Amino acid sequence: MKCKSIRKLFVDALYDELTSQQREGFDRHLESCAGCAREFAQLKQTMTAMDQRELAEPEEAFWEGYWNRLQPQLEETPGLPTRYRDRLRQLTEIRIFEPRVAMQLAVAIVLIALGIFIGRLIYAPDNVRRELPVYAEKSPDGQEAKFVDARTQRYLERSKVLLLGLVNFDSAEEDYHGLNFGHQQRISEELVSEAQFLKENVRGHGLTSLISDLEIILMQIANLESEQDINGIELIKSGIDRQGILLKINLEEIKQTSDSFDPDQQIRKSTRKNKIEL
Amino acid sequence: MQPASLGIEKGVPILKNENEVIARACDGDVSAFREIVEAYKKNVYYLARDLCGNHETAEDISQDVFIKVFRSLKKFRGDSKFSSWIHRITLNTFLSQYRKKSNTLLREASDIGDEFVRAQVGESQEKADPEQRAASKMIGMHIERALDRLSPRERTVFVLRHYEHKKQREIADMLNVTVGTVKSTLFRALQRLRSELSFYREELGLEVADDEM
Repeated sequence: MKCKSIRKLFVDALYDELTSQQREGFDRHLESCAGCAREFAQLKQTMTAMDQRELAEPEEAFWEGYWNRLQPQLEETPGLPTRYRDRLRQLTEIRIFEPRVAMQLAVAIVLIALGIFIGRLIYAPDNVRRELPVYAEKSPDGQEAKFVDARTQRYLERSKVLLLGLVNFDSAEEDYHGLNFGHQQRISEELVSEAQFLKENVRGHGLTSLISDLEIILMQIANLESEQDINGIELIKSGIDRQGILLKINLEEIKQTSDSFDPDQQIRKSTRKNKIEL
Repeated sequence: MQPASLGIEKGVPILKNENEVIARACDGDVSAFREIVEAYKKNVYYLARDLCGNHETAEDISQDVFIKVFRSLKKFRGDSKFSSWIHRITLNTFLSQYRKKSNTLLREASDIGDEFVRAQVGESQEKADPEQRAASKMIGMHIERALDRLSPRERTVFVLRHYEHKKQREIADMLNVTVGTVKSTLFRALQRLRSELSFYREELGLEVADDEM
């Protein structure tokens, strides 16, 4: 092949797009032609040099905000129907679903939860228990079961009142007086102590689990810095709501009431009454 | 550099249910259009960035592309692949901006070097010493300057073949020219780059001298 024909094959040869037949003739020519061989080698080196081009990668935030930067420009489209424009705005306003925002929210929640957990683990139990009056006493007259049942009912009742007060507290109104925070914390501490006794004595997995859940919430209340710790209060409220604590208390109370209704005992009472009448 | 392997080369659609999403977007479903943007934004941006060589202009071009797509989506008839259509719009947007703004489109040499160094530093986790970084900055500057010397069409063809790994046939289709034209344009581009880079032979590690050429 002549040099002119060979030069036409340079691009294909550089990008490895020659057929095997072309490659054979091409290589043979380069072996015998120093000029073509030098030019080809230089072009090859040029390509290698151009391979060193590297451009910075945009950060993740660039991609996350891409649509929000584009959207105002789309809105300027002449003759764009109003419904499209409104929909464009809606799509941009839903920023909470952006991965970055969602991730930040998730991290914040995890950190708060971790803080509460560590705080509870390190400080709360000892401090709370040390200062609390001891409620867990042996029942009188050996009537263990009745005694425990009564204390459980009392515990659930007091807890419910306490939680209702907190759940109904509207942090937006900042009516801290209405919350009666100091009193609630004292009650919480008492109930935490009571929970220790009940957990060891009550029967039934459901009730034990409810008492444990309540204990955690009561500890959180007992360990709140002040009534102005709105984030803490809101977190506790969401925990009560999420775990359905109030509903579980109500169900447990209904169950306890129905358990206390003993049909055999009622029949015996009725028979005795009849006998007396007789 | 971001490899151009986001699905287009292998003929794999970037967007799942692409035809359906496009149809919905054509009917005025803005959320469907957003799906298109989210699926193609990286592809369009990286092509624009390889063409123009800087981040800010690449973003401008890519956003212009999506505005054009938004306004002319109903004109897409499905004769070609949707990705090819978007790529063609990207090329045309780059070429028209390049011609309009000429030198101002591409960044200052110092910026080129800075961005190049940032990329290098990012990859090597800032292990490079100041001397190495300075050398990288210089190489980056030389490469961008050499690319700046190409005509818009030479630059486009070279970038598509060299950085986007398009076949000559694909480039010909995208630019609506013959394969022969692509080949000769590419050859001219390589010759010009060789000539531009010959000044920096030592820094770029080029071994074969051209004094006999």
